[in-house]
Amino acid sequence: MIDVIMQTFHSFMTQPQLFGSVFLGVVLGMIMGILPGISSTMSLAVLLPLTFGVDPIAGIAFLIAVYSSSTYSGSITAILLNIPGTPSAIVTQIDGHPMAKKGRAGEAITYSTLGSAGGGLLGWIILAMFAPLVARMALNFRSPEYTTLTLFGLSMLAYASPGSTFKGIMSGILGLILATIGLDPLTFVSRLDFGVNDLLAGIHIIPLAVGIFGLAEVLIGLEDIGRGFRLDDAPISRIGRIFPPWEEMKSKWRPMMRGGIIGVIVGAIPAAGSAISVVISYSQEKRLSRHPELFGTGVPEGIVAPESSNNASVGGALIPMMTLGIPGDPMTAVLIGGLLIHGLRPGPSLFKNNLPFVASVYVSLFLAIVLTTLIAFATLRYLVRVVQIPRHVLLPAVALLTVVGSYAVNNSLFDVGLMILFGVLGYLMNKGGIPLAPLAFGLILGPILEENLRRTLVVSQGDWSVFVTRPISLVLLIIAVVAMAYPAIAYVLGRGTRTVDAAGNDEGVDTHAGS
Amino acid sequence: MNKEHRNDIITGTVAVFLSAVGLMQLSTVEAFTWGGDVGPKFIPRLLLWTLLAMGVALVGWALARQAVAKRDAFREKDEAGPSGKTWVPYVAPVVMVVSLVVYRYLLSSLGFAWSSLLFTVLWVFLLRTMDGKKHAGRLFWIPVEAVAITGSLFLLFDKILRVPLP
Repeated sequence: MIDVIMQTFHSFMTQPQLFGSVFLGVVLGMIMGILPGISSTMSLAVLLPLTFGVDPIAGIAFLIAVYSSSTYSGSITAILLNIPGTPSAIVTQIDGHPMAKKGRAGEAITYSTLGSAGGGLLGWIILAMFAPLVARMALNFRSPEYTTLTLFGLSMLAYASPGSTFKGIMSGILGLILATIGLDPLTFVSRLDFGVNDLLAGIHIIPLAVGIFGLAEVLIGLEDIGRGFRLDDAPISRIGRIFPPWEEMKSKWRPMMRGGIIGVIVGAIPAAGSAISVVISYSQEKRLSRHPELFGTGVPEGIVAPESSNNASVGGALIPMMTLGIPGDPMTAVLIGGLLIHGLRPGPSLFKNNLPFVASVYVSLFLAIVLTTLIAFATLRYLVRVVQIPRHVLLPAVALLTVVGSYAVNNSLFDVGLMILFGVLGYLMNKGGIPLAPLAFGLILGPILEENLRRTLVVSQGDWSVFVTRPISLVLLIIAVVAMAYPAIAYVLGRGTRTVDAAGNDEGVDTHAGS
Repeated sequence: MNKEHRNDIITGTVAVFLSAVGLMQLSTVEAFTWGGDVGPKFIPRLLLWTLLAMGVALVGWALARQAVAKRDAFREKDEAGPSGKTWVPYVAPVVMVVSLVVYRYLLSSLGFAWSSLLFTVLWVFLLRTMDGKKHAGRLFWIPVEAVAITGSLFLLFDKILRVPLP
């Protein structure tokens, strides 16, 4: 494996198209991530069509770079404007913005950059080490295990998504229903098509993802403007000194490591994602601090730990995506869409049949982390000006990108119509406090769930007990049931609500963070 | 009615409606099963019934909470506010959706470049007007910005990346 990675690294460094894809992805991802109201998921969704015309490896390298760099750069907006560029940056702003207000914006961004780089590299190392092991283990999975695994993924998503678990489950079920539209893969009987021929082939993930993560955020942005909300109110324009004193900086490796480890573990749990890991790492750091009362006033640990956690979760989220085909977070759901467009289905077989491609994911993530750090330091003083791009240019451009993105998948205007429909649905779901990510996950996991469930039942001659007589399947099923039932159990026992809400990261509330 | 309860009732009702429509459509599908296979209707039917049940539960739960809130005299006033202008923030999203639908139909007749130009001119104008600031030479900058947005996307996708455009 190491040989393949080294060979791929050499290819990336010598082939301008591959290196250029990562470079361009990093630059565009950073710019999109900095822009308030443009989340990492939206960045990926609207930049996806840029990969349609290039070869699969360059395309995925570009998307990985966008994913990694936009995850980092959301913190810049959080620090300068007190508005998170991405949901995960919500925690960074707690200490980042007060530090910037003290005239230390440059130092705050440096802490965030170094934390991101450290956490990102830690996540990358763990991805490279453990993904092949998980994939090897997953090769022993048969259809009963895959059935319960998809249920497990959906249940974790419903549980971990911000907002109500009950509504999260409803959103996931709606996604699963959407996945059944069109021809049944086993009998070729059409279902739920309502006589619309364009629906016979089913609904593609891209119009849905672009609609609910892209257009819906444009609509939310427009609503904010209608409410008189301004994003350009008093941004911090002077960033001051960039590098903090060495004496202060050198002691920050501990919060960086702690945040990174939390990020990669939480990120690897299907659907848990970075928004949860940053909350855990921040509270952990505060708990361990000798001066917890200073948190919230601009302490570097409050920036380094969540940023490290945030970027480590990228490597973590790629583990279930690459090895099992289960998205780790909404961004990896869009990435799976990108892989499918290029004819690649993630899962253990990818490690068996397409090792160079797996290596290219590793290499592009590594290069993206390094390039993000270098570009951030080199262009910091200029990059902050991106915050000032006027919205009357940004919003129409993003709206056009959503149309191009949804059209280019199948060259179909019907898909554009679907995207608009899903955009409205995403907007309304956001208003109703219904998590959006389970909807996209349901559409991705639906075919896997149905195919494996029915295959299992054909093999077992209709015997359902097969799901509880196989150990892995049973364990996954128990976890899924407990995750889905936990809120009800906790309510009955009077324990109150879930800790996830401690971040205040409710999609129905925080309209600028998106998903 | 409390906003949260009202949202839950709307969400639940929509879920019930969608599942009922889906179940009706599914009942018209002729399907067969073989061996241990549960058939093509089984999974969608199971999911639709589950969604329907959850929709009913959500409505019931919201009504029950509302009743408790009333009984305890903690009834909250409608959070939408007393003014009759609560619809104002929603005008721009609605106009965006309508303009996108029109744009989608224009794409097939005018092609990408012209229809996109019309779309961006409209939105640059609307957003510049909505931000309330006085811009010198606004009428000059609107077409310039619209051409810049459309032109750069056209060049990027059509000429550089060769991604098919409508």
